[in-house]
Amino acid sequence: MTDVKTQNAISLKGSAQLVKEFFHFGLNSILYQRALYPSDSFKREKKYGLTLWVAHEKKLQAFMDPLLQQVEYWLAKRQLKRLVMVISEVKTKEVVERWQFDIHTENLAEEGENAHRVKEEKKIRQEISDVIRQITASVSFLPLLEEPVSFDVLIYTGKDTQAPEDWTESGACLIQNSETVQLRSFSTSVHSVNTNVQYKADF
Amino acid sequence: MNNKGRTPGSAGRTVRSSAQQNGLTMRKRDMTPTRNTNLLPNATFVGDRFLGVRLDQDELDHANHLMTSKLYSNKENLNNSMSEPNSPEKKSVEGEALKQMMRHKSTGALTDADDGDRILCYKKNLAPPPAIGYINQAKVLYSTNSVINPASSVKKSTRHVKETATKVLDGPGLTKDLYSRHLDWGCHNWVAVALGHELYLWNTETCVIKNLFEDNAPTNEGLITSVRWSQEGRYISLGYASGAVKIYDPNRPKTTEYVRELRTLRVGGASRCASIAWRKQGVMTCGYKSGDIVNHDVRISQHVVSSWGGDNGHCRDVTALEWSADENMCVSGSSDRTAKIWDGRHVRGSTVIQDPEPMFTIDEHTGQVRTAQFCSFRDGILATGGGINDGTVKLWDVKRQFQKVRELNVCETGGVGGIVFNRPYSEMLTASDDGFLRIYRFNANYKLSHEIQASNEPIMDLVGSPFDEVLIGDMEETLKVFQLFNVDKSTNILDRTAPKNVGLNVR
Repeated sequence: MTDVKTQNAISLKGSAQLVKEFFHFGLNSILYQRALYPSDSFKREKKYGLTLWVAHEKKLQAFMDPLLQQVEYWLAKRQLKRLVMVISEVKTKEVVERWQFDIHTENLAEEGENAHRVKEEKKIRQEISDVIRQITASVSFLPLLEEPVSFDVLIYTGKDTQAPEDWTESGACLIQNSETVQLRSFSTSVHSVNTNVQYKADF
Repeated sequence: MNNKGRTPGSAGRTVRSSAQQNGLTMRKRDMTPTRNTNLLPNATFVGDRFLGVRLDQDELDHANHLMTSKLYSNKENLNNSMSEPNSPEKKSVEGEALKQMMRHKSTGALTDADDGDRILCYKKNLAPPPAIGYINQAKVLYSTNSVINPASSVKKSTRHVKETATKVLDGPGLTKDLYSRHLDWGCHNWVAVALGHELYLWNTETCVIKNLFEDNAPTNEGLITSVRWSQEGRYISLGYASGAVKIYDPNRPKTTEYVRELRTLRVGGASRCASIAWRKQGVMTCGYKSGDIVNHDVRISQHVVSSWGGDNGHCRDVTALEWSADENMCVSGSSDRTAKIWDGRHVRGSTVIQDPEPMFTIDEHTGQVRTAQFCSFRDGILATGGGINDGTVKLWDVKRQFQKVRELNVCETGGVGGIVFNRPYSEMLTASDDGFLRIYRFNANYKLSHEIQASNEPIMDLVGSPFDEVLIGDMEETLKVFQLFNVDKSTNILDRTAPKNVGLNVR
């Protein structure tokens, strides 16, 4: 009974790790499916019961790893409200796609530092798998990226948040006359993540 | 001063005027001039001076603190603009705190974040770029514009042709006669050039030029009107304006006058032999100005073996004579606007053959038929070129009742001076009076593929070498050699035969 209880207990730090891992595989899937980088610079990894593509280019990994570390830190501090991946054209700086992850953190303050929530890990994995599977399937309705594109990652956080040097103030990078498609969401019982993609309509 | 600059007299007048406007006449008796203005109920009666809002003491203390504290001594505190360029100074803690305190929310109108939210971007515009030359694979597959083209869709281009002459020679004295033949290129790469009364032999490989007559040219026969090598290249025949045809052997050494001359053939009543065609076994076909075509057997004394003329022949001078490759038929072009095809079996018989009927008569040209040529790569195709006022080349199929295959408008003004067929490329080259050489591709529906301006004057002669060169003679008295049919030796070995070594040793 004690073992089962320990396995299903989710703490704030554990939930932050789970969400960070989701962002790791989710952002890499977006990079692969939208063909921002050559497909031969990705390698296969098994996770959540899926075969996922993860970039193994050194420069890209050196770019993403500090980003995910900082995201995990802010998740554990309950300061992360939204993560947005912005895909824009290189020449004109026009935003063509926007992947938005809204994060809602449950309040565990009254329960103390070591408060836990109970949720089965298998169910969490299944929900994350559903979201990433939907990210993969979204290639079918998203428009073709004809021009060379680049990406940025925005973070929505509180005003009193301390930021490292790499993070600069930015606008919201909204798309005019955009279409929005709501994807699935998942929850670790501490963090809830809602996913939607906004893209520029051609007509 | 509590009265605030108001005199008692003016206060009384103001009160009365306002009372009359508002209709408060009953209060007129109560109004007495007084210094105490606090009793007035309406604030507009205060007067004509503005009294600003007085700051309280706390705000004044805060301003004094900001001005006199040590934060004021830093330079960067005064420079709070985020867009103004700053020199690279060391960041101080007070400066950073002051910047955060005084930051203005400038992007509030453009964001969807809440009022208390902040948007941070990780290394803006610094994501690593993809590999150089990387193109979206979906774009390669589904792109509709023609930026990216696979190799299979590259349009096939025509081959490159060198448009300048490789060799240019002067030909002083080249007769300006469109209906004569002044040049011939033998199978041994010796070119015979007739300049007036002289005959020059030019080896295109060694560039040796020799005069056959060496200032002893016969002048009693008039100008040379046609030049032709024999088939194997040992003898050369010259037609003269008088109608005589002389056969020379350039191999024989010159010891006495006219000793190189082998024979002179004369036909009664003939004049101006303008076209000669050799056949095997020593038969030479000559066309004369009278329209008669005579076949000479140069080996026997009674050299006339047949004569094609009379009512079945031409009525004006014969300008073109060519035998087909299998020597089954001979084509003759004439100034009477007709071309006739003669049966090869009518060359020799038991007796002299007189005026046989030709196989076919081509009468569709609107001008003189100046040139005629059998196609060397497509069996049974005959090409006839028109003269002045008829710049067309007509193609005929001699194996299908001589029906016309195609008519090509080569030259708008003037005529076609010569036709050369090229076997490796299946192309036809024409020379015309506008000075142009034109290449027609027989495999592409006789399409014109190249146009080369070879001269500014009409081209009188066009002869082809045994290989890939052509020689033209124009009215500028210039001879030019063009390389228009270059063939890669590694892929066309069978078409590149070596020049025949017939033992010709011009002395």
